[in-house]
Amino acid sequence: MIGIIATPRHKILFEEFVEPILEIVEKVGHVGKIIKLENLNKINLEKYEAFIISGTALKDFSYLKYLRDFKRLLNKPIFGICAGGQILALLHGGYLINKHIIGKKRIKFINERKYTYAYFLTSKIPLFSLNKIEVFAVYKSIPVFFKIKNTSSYISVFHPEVYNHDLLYKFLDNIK
Amino acid sequence: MKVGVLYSGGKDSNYVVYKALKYGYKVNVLINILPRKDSFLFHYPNAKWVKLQAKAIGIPIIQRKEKTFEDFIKILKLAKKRYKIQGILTGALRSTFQATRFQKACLLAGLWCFNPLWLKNEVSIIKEVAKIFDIIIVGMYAYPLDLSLIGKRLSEVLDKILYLHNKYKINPAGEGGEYETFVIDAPFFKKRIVIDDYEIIKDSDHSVTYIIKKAHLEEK
Repeated sequence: MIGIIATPRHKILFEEFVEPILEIVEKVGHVGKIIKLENLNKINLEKYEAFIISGTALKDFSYLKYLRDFKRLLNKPIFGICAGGQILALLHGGYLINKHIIGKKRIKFINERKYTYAYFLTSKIPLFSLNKIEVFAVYKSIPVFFKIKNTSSYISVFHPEVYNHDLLYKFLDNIK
Repeated sequence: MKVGVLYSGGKDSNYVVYKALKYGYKVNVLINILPRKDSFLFHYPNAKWVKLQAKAIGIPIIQRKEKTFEDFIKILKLAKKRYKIQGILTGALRSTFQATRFQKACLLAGLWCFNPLWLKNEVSIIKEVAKIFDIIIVGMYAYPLDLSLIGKRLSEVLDKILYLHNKYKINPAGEGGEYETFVIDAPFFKKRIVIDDYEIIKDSDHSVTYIIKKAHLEEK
């Protein structure tokens, strides 16, 4: 089972930020379960093979209250999207800078040397020392899709559920 | 939370009002933007009758012309001040151009931006709204949609639209401007709209507009 951790404060935002992820998870044959933040410290970790932490609205930072509750998930493969990535960054010793990136932007996948589009809706960018992360994609030299070395935590600053389903498919594929 | 809804009078913006009310939001205002002639962002065949829809629903409406992006932000700020709203709901479905514009404007106006139709399956949406709303097709602008659909109820021609979607890959929700709709009744409408007179303007076999010339409200 894949746990989809819903970061939005308002239930209506689940339709925008959480349900598209659930669709992707189910499309590739996994069972997905939406987990609300207030239930995070009660879940039975053994039931879950991996987690995807959703993004949320630009004005929403309520998820930061639950930072501590994410700690016990860190031994599992986790894919953090936008707000989800911010959570992972803070837990793994990274930091956040205030910077808005909004809209469809051209990003570069470094290893493949290919450009593609990604949809951003963020006001904070997670940053690390470069020796702590394995960078897969950049936007104007800012790492926007990367893995934290020696962990199974992936951070996407953009929303892959819009243009980059393949990144989620790959993540889910590695779990099978 | 008190919210405003970006409202064009079509099926998607009415579906957003429906969802807002279902989630328990207080919809304090509808915001109808009348575009510049060259703006493809907003929908406008029967813009003047949107005020009648607002009356039917019983929610105030702000209707303004938008020449620039800054105009759009000013309109949102006006709605925020006058109607004490904290957020805006939009019917953005898949267009990141549209979504980005709405997100940026809401950010600058200090408003939450909710997009409950975002990335939703268009076929599911159109089937749902055809069931719960009374919708008229008021514009057809793409091959192979034709005159036979104009002025008809969406529920009557839904099968044809879905057939054309399967065969020709037209967007079933009309998201690319293939067709436009006008809602004349919905569960949250306090009165229904009755169209008394209309005119069909045909630019070509696949570009037809149904212009409402006269309409009134009727008790339900």
